[in-house]
Amino acid sequence: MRRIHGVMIFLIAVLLMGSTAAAFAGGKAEGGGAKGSLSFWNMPFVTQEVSPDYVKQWVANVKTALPDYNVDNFFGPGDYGPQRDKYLVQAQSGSPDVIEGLLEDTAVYVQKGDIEPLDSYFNAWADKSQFVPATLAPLTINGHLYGIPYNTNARGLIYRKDILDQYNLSVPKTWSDLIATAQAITKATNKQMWGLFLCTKVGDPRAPQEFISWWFQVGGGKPMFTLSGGQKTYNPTVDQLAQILTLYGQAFTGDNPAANPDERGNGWPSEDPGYASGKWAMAPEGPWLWGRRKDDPTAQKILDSSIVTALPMPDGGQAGTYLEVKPIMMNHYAKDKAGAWKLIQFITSKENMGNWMASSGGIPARTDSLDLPVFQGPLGNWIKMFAALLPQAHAQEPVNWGPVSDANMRAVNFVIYGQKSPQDAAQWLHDTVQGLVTGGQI
Amino acid sequence: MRPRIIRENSGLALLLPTLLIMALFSIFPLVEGIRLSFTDANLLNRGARGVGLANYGKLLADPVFWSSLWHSLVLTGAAVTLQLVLGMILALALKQELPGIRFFRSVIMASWVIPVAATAVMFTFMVEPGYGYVNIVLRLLGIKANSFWFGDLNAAFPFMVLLHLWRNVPFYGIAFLAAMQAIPHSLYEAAEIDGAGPLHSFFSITVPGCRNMIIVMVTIHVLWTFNNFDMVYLTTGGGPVYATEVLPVYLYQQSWISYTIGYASSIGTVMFVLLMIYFIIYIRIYQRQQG
Repeated sequence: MRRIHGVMIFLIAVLLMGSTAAAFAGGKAEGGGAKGSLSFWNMPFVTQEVSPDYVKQWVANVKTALPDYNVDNFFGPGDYGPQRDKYLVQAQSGSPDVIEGLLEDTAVYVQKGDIEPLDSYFNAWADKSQFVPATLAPLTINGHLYGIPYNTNARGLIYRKDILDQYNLSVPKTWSDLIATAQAITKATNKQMWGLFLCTKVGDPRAPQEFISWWFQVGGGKPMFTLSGGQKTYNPTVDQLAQILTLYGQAFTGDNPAANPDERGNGWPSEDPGYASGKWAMAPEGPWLWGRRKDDPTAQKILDSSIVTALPMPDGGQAGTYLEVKPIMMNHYAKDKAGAWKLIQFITSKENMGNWMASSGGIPARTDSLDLPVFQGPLGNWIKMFAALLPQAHAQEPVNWGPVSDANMRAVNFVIYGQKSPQDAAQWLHDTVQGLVTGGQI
Repeated sequence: MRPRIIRENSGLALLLPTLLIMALFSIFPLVEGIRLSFTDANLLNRGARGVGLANYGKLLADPVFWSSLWHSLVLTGAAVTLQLVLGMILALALKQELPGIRFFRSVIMASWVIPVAATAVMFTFMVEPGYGYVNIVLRLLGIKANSFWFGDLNAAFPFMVLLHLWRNVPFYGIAFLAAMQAIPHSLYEAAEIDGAGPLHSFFSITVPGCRNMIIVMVTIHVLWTFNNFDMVYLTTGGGPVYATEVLPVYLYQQSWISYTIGYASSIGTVMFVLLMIYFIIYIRIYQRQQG
């Protein structure tokens, strides 16, 4: 028994000495004061949306650019949902210092007070004038700039020019053209190729972005929510929502449906590879599809014979589409805000932003990045097709879009699965979102 | 000689660290969750005020809650029952000394070892139209099918049950095999001498011999399946429409999409109460049988 006590005392002593030694070692490193540390959560670096070679180069470059800092090469959970959830819970710890995200995330972080206004930093930056004003506007909430944009794009209709030429079809300009053209392709190919793909999966990030694109057309460019004096007003009428839902209903019905009914409830993981492998001839897409050229020679051939144009409009509607803006934000609780700003400047510098977007097929939010040699040639032409759509693109308002997007896609599901008529689904959607507004959930 | 107070309470003292850790990581979150269910806590707003039973009143009037509860109960009932039956059949098969059976016994747990996230991704690809393995096999069998099965209103839920079976049946099989191997062979010999057939032996010797293992497996799988979030969330997100919406997914959506922590906590509390009722009834029956 005494021996056991002796062993236990020895173990405790070893543990205590070990922890004391570690504390001293830590103190020494910190006391040496050589470097500060910074952390940056950034989904595309984890998911390889941007090439691993670029990330490797970025990690090497940041060491040179910020010699006084160690920048952690853990870039967060690697998925926007978990990244947002974790940040909401842990932001007050001061980590990460800098976070990349979706525009929808910015609104949520601002509401919770978790991100720092960047006006004073940005206004003092010589590169300020290089940023496209349209990309700064949606990040300006309550008069303050809450993020530096690095990536922007407008949703357009990508179509197979070779297929349309083969079957003597015109590029669709209206929703009825879109359905008719897509049905003609489905019929002409005997369902070997479907005319259109639309994302309809509940929880899919891209599906609500497509839905909102149609809204901007039906609503004449009006935002879905008007924010005034802390009040939020839901703008769509039941009839307008029914018009959008009818489009989804029409896409999946008929003898030769425009879109494959077996793809109902599917999302972006099917949309992109499906287009690049020739399963459908048209889809609402963004510039990221460029990365699919590397899949195989077929994908390269298909994308080389593809054209991007404005999304078709409803009769009596107005040109409009979803504007994606991705920001780099600073943690309000970052312990070294000057260092965090230096890191943001590095990330959004001309070269780093340009090369990042070139690697992932996005449009840089800086005009001078487009002067880089990497944007000349085929990639430059590709980017220009999407950039041409930016003037008609609208950003989403700073509200909590999560429950709204969920309701939008449930309504779409009601229609495409024949659970409700477009009018009934629209009424349900209107009531649901109105309830969210009244309940203060957005 | 140690003082009496130390002598008599040394057992309690040894348990104290464990009890403290349990209190910190189990009891505190549980109590806090129940407390939050009586508030309007929202992750985006600071502070929360008491709202009494308002969240529970809202639950009663929420059709999505009721359909999610129904789906959770059906999923748990169907998956656990089928796992039990198929697991028993698998164990009987594994018990046979067939060529290659040792290798089969070694690899059969692979589906249980693979992380759920990987399983979900794998199945999502497998049920894709065109190149999906499920559709290819169905076509080879002469069945004209090319659906995205997780997007099919009628098939998505049965596929969710299938996903649970694919993952858990081997675990049941191995567990029941272990229980069967502990049954003395002499019992089967005696039964055979007494003229009992294989079916009679199975129900009179094998099943009672596996009884404790069955209780353990059913208990933990009722808990796991009822609380299972990842399989549904990663494959269908609760859709299409609300066809696969189960309580853990609905709770998650309320917590992390709407950020209505108070309402989400009331869903969690209902889940907790339901499982507690199940356990109390189950343990009572078990104790009565033991007695």
